[in-house]
Amino acid sequence: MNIDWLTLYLALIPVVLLLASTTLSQRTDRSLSEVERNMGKGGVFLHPLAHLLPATKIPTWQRHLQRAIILWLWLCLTLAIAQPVQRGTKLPDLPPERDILLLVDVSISMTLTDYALDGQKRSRMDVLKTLLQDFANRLQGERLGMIVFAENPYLLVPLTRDPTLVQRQLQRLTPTLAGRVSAVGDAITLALKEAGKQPQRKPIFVLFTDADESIGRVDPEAAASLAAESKIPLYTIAIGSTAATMEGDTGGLAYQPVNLALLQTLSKRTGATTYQAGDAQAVEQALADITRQHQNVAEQIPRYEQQPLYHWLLLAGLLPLMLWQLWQRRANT
Amino acid sequence: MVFPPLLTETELQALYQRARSATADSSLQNLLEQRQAGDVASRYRGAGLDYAESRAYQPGDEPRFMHWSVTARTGKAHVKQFREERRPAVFIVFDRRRAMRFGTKVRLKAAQAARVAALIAFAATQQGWAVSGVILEAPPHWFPTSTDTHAVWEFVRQCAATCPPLPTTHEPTLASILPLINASVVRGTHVYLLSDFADLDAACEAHILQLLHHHPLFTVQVLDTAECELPAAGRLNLQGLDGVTHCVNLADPILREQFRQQAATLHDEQAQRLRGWGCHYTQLLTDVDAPELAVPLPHGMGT
Repeated sequence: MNIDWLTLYLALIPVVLLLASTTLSQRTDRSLSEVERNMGKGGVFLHPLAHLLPATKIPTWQRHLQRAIILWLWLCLTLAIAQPVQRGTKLPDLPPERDILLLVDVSISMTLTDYALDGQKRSRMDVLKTLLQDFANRLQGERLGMIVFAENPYLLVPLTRDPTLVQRQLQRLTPTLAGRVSAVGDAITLALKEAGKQPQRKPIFVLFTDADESIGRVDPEAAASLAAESKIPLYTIAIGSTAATMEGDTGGLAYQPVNLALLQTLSKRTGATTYQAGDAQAVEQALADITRQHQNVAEQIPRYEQQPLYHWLLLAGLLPLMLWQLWQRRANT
Repeated sequence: MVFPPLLTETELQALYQRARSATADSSLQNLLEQRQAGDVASRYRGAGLDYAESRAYQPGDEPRFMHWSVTARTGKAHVKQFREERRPAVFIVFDRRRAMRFGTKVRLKAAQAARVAALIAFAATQQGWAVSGVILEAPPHWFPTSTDTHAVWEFVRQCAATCPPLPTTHEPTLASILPLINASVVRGTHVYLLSDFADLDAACEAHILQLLHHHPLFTVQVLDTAECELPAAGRLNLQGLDGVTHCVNLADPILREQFRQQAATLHDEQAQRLRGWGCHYTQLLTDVDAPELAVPLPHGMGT
């Protein structure tokens, strides 16, 4: 039978407290006056004629037994704090998984209302969020990470197996979260840096952007070549229309069409494809392509079934105490 | 922790007044032989001015007190005996040891004893008697003979003061203090023993008898109600003077009855012994408010 202790360090607390209290009580015993010591003993009264009373002193074995019971209870409780668990059968290993880094553009141009749904104008941001939600739902079981970028790229969600976390963070996305213009090259560089932390695993980059032209310190094409060198596929999903102008209100912004050609160049260089958001088939295709990619072997920490044992310790500690109290009550009546 | 004194100043003032009125009460006068004021004739024979009687000569008698006429008449050597003259005095032994610092109702045994001591001292000083005494604790505190009211008040205040912390060393026993009293007190002094007589053992007998030979001895046994009868207080740990803790269930009527009988036997035995030796014995409970009704006070001077 294998027993693991989950919180062995917590069991140190009672031990330390016991040692501290014994040393402290020794110290205070010397300083307390006799009266206070008598009061501290818990109901010992002086009586000049106490020697006339029958010597119904508690027998030695009873006092020792009581002491032993209290000690046993203390020991059991201390052990219970350490949370012993019985190790059961080994749980199956995690399935292989992909590391997918979502590079999300949150520049100001995301507020442009390029899309129409049921006759209502929808901003690029709304479409992007729906899209990402869809991605997060469909890519269950994969490790997802998210980098948001505009002028500067930031790592919003590190690679995680928790899809809920990704969906929660999606709701926080607002345009201009990271600046006004989109620096695609910088974002890819940060993604590469993030991927470099686990060099033995091959990630997949998915870039959601409405970038028109390259702004930033790193040229997007150069960044894409770097990704290609590390054999990382960079899927791009273009958001917004390619039309040169837009009908209707632009909210005071200069209209900016998506530069599909640039995105295609980037993807091609890494051996991936470009898709257009708003086209359901294209998105399906994107997901299918991504899931065809190489799967990484999941990090395997051996996992076992765990049967908690603390209640047995509590029972073992408290049962003698209860029986003792019952017996004493019976003996006293 | 600050403990209050056994008796406050107001209580002492009240006791002073009560001592005055109690001495006016003549119901207890027959308990005392002393009725005359001043340098009075004692019932003891010894050196003095008044001729009392003659007795046969014993080796060591002063030749100047030879009663020549009787010697000549009887043919055997006789000496004159005179009636001693002395100043009436009281000596108070006030026990303030461990066992006296106990009380469950109204006041401590030591406080009750202090009240009695104050009453005796006040009554004595109001009658012009000399007062001396000893506070029995570790170490015993002796108070020299004095007729001065201020000095007597000082003694009473010392008796009524807060008890000093219990000593770690052994406290003096009654048997160790009695011979010292015998040595220091003038013959014929009224000796008051205010104690619970917890250590009235065989060793005391000789000393008490010796004291009785020269002094009238008044013993006041101060007891607490809990020493005669235990209250139905449920489970308690009672620690005796020997430090042994007894765990008892006071809800048990049989146990309480046993204790009552044993305590009564013990106290009766002590009273019998003291009375048998010839002492005047009074039992005083701590909740008694007027001890002057039970304890004979020195009085009757000049009346």
